[in-house]
Amino acid sequence: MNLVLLQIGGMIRYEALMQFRRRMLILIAAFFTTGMIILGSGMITTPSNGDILDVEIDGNQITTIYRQPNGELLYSHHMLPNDTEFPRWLADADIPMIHDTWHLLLTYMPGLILLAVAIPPLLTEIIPLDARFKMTELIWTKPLSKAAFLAGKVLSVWFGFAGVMAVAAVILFVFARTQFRTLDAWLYIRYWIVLILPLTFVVSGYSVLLGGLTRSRRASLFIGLAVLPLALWTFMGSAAMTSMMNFLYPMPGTPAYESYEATAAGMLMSVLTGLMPYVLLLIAIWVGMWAILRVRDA
Amino acid sequence: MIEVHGLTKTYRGGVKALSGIDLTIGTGMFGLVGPNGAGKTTLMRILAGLLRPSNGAARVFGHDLATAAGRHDAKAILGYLPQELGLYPNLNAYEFLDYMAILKGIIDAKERRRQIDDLLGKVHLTDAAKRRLKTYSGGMKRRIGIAQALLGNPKLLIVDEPTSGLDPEERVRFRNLLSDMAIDRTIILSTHIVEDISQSCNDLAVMKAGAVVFRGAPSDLIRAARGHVWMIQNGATRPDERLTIVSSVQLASGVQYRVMGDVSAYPNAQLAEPTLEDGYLFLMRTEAGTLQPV
Repeated sequence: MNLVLLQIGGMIRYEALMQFRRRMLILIAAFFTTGMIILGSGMITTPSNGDILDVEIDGNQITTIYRQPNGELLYSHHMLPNDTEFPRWLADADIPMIHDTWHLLLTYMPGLILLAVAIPPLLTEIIPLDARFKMTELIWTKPLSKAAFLAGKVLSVWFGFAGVMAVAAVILFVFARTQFRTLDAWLYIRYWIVLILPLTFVVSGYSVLLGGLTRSRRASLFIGLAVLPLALWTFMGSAAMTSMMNFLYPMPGTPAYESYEATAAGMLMSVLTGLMPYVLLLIAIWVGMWAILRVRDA
Repeated sequence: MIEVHGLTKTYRGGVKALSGIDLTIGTGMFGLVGPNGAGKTTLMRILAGLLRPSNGAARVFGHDLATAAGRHDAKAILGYLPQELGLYPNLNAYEFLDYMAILKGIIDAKERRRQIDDLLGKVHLTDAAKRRLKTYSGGMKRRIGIAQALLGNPKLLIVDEPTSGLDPEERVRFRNLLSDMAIDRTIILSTHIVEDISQSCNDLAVMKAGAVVFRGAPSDLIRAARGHVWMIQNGATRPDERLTIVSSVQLASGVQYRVMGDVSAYPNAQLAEPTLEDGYLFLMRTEAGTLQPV
């Protein structure tokens, strides 16, 4: 067991190092982070109605009070459907903070999806690169099991991918912090841990394992392009946009929580639940790839 | 000890690479020579656990290569240098060797560092240890390949064309390094350079068309060619086509040929003392490969 963990650890260390030295991952991330900031700044800094001051509740009607850029107050009325239970805690909550955090998360999503869509073609080449560098034969003369090999490759890519996403998230947050008065950093971090980490793992797994079906780097790029819709589907399916909407505009059929914390926890749980089918799909691909390696060996 | 019995390998499409090979290889340097397509690489890939035989059995220091556990255990005591080795261009020599040492199962970090420093010294790459491998010349890459094969002090070392791409001085140094290491381990050296075998191996096998056609000491192969190698001087005309020309040297008085075959048409032919290369060529010339060690 010690040997297997050491081998996986060594693969993570050196494969991730090689990824960073190839620089393509960093360049793509830098490109999209810059794009996210430019696009996001447009959405963040010019809210259509101005800053939210307060929310008032009267029966099924929610009135949101904004201070417009010219200083005048704007009263926006929103009627809830009859079958929707309104979260009463919202009346006493720090509305500007919730609103800003919600805007931050909604701004981050399109950039995140773009980044996730761009990266898989760079990840599918990890196993074919061994063949290109004529290292495959040498690797398989080591006492390395196929399961450890696949785990090492997927985890090394995940570490690199998640590292890039972490840097992008920090840059985006620092930028957002300069634009907003208050932000719930803890919710942002939790959302990153619950959504981004597992999603990058699933997408890394799809990319590396399916890319391993070929020994040609060029063919792996085509597989990467085929993985794009799969990655998009996974992101869209698990991003739980509706649960985020629950913060300010409760949707019909969604549960009403007792507090801000409970709403945040519910949103995060809904993300995790949304991810489960994709994790199962990844496990199926993983087992399939392991079986293919066994058959090739035989 | 390597034991191979009735080893056969038939690739998809019916190409037979090995046909019923029997070999027992003890400690020391063992040379494997033969023309392209003789089955040398297939045999070595089977012994390295990279290929499964179609039939027959192979054991490496008691580990049965037919089982997954046997292959795993055999790989733990194996050092392997393939003929085509590319390396990871974005790692430096130290990082590459550390990565290979980890995969090989050298758990202790201090021990890895000690072995890497020692091997970098042996292959004369200490000064270039921190340079990326993509900046290395072909010979330097070959030396790194040799260093990684020696990691973990393997009991079995399989090296395929190890000296190709090395300059003469490096070739001699590498041959000496292998000879020093052969004292308490088995080294299988496959090469087209017969001189490498003659200088370092005390045991060899010659393969042809998937079969072992000679097994014995280099001196036995040399002895087999004795009486068949001649020197003739033939002016500007090439010797009879039925003779095998081993080499030719341009002299002031004409061209001197080293040949094998019936030289009765050349009364001035002088018998020459054969080399291992002559022995190998003589063996290849006997199509049936019926020559036995003397």
